[in-house]
Amino acid sequence: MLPHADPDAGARPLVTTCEERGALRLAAIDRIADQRGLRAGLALADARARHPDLIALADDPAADRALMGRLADWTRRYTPLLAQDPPDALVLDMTGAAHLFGGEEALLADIRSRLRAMGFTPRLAIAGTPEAAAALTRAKRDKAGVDKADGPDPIIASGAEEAALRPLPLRALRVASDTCDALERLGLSRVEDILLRPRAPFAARFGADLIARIDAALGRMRSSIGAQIEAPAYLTERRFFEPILAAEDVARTLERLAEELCSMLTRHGEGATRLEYMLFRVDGAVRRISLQAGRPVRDPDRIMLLFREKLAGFHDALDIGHGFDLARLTAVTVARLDQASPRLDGRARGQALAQLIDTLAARLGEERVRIPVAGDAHLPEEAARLRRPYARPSARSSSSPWLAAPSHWLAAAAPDRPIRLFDQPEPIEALAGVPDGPPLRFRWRRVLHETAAYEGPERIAPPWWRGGRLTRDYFRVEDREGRRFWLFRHGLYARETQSPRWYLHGVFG
Amino acid sequence: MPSGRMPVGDVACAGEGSAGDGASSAAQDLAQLRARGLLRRAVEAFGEAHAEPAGAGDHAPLDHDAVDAVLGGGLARGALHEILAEEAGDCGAAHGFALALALRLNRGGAMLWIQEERARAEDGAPYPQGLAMMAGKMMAGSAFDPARIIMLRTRDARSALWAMEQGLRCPGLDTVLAEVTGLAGACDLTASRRLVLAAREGGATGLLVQAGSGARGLKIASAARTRWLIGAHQSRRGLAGEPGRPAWRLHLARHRGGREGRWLREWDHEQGQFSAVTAGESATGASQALPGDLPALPRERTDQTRRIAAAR
Repeated sequence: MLPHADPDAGARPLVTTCEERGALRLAAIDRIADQRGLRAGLALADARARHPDLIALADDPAADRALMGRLADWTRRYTPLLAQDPPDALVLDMTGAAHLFGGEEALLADIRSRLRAMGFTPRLAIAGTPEAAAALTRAKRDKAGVDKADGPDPIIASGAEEAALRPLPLRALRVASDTCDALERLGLSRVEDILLRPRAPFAARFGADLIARIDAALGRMRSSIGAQIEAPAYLTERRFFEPILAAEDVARTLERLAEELCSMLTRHGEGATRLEYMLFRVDGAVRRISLQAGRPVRDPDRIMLLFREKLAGFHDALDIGHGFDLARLTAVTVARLDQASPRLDGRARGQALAQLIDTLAARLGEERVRIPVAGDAHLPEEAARLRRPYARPSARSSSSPWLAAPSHWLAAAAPDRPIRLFDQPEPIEALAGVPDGPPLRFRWRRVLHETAAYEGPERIAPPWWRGGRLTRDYFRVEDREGRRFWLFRHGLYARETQSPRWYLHGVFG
Repeated sequence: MPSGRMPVGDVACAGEGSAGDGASSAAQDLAQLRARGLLRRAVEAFGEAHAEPAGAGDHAPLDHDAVDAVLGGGLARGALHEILAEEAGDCGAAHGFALALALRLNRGGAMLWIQEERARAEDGAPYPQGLAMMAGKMMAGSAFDPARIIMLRTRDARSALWAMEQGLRCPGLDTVLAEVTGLAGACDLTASRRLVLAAREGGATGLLVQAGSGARGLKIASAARTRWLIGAHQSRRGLAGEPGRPAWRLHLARHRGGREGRWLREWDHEQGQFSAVTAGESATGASQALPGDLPALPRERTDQTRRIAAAR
């Protein structure tokens, strides 16, 4: 269902269209179109014939999904447990939370008025099972998919689902369309038509799904909404009747929330490893600032510091607009953190290091901080990798794989691996005496280098299982100025290629 | 710092002065400085395992009497040193010398290696396998381990310098090495003074590497203790005529409160220390005494690699 039509569009019906079975058909229609008798699924040509003033726009499923995603974010102000029910529904688990909003009626009224203010026409329902609530909202549209949003939003107490669902059409329970068609041909279209009859024949004829859906809706079968967002371990929030507008207030709120959160964490002997600060803007937009800590944190000052680095990294990050009316700080993941007595040994140094990593990552971006780890590969560019600093190796002294075979290089007259490696080997023009010999001179970055001494080739073949790649012959070359380079010829002459190219891969000290 | 249970370790390395807002941050700085003072006194009092060994002094010797004499015992710790390349082509030498200094300064702690993205594009990325080879004996004793290097890439020189300051203030680090392409505009006397101050307070040593600008880089004023111009030098050939150990022309071009000098030094990658280029002056003869079949030593991956050393 489309939002209310623009005022300046007058009383012209607005529809979106999609291509279906080779023709443009109406995908969604607005209220005016509905009143004029248009229905989703109608061919656009027919609709235009009836209403030449029709405004038709191509539909955009990706944008629809993105909008639902933002809406889902917005509904997190009510509960952290929610699931999307594509294409157009959201399921919120409000168990034990409705009283925070003044009861169920007040909750629905609040959601309704906010969504209306954003330009939506919401259909809402509360019931004891997610399926029943979803069915009730779906039942508010008739078969053609037109909204009957008027009338009160139903609230069904737990246990009263059966009475509420009886008169609903089966389609509202998301029973498969062909099953519905078959049942309708038998004159059975409502839930009660099934409920009043023995179950076994239905299950045998139409499959277990039909009965399962009814059972789930009636609460005879346990089901969960399959929340898409993991519930945070700890959560504190502040709601404001007057939206906060100043950046200082945002920071001050964070400070208070951090203190509350930390006292909760202290009580349970835990520290946060992932934190998220969410700001809900009055107009429905949600700002999320999340950060990761190398070690569990439980210190408000530390948390503030990390967030401040994060905010300093943004430019005009907050975009306060009309203000925020809800701020929430959650510890998304936590880890055990015992009250440590401050010690002045290696542990304190390690802690300082972890804090440094956090500070750098928060300000400059987590992906910019890395720690080298030896890779088990022959290709030079794969022999060393970078990993995230948070996954600390347990025994750092013994497990270093660079030490695996020290005899090779300890005995060598000079290091045979460069200290610098280019991400992309740089193409050079090289002149070799014989096609498979060492380079006599080469030009790199427009400078000509004359080879004075060299060692090689060291032949490195790509792993056979990756096929298609050429063998590399590496040469360690020193030019007349004493500069040392690592070059390779790409491809074996005559065997793999007729005109092998040369590359400069690294620079020696 | 409102709470009394604040662990000492928490005081350390976080964004003083950089992200704060005016007066409150200054007050915070002051509080943190005080706390750090307390920390240092506490460390001295307890003399714990990782506190500085009493006899080590604040200098890292560079293994040559003449050099160390000029430097007053070696490269000063808790200070800022700048390394420049003689010409753009000498970037390998400059990076090699900076790495050599970092290895000499290494005391088994961690190292922060900051690289501006442009420097990475121009000079390549530090290659851990190669770094390990330069460390030699230190690797075996696990005094140096590439896995203890924190690699940081920054978008520009300004954030590189910011990160360097954070690192220098962090007690967990021995060395902070920052590679930047051009300091003009990003680093002036004030900025380098900040770094010097941070190094003095934190105790880590800062190495600022500018491989791209050549000798012109010296024209930018800097508060660094020493400024080096490094050039590549022909290495001593191996037995089969192959290039030998890294050799560099060192030019101590600026030395705050000391003499300048020029030397020719080689890096002994087996011992992890500097040595002389001329044979016979030190123990480098050992490498020449190696058996003649050295280049043909069977390697681990004989099926994949074959090595032939040849004299030209």
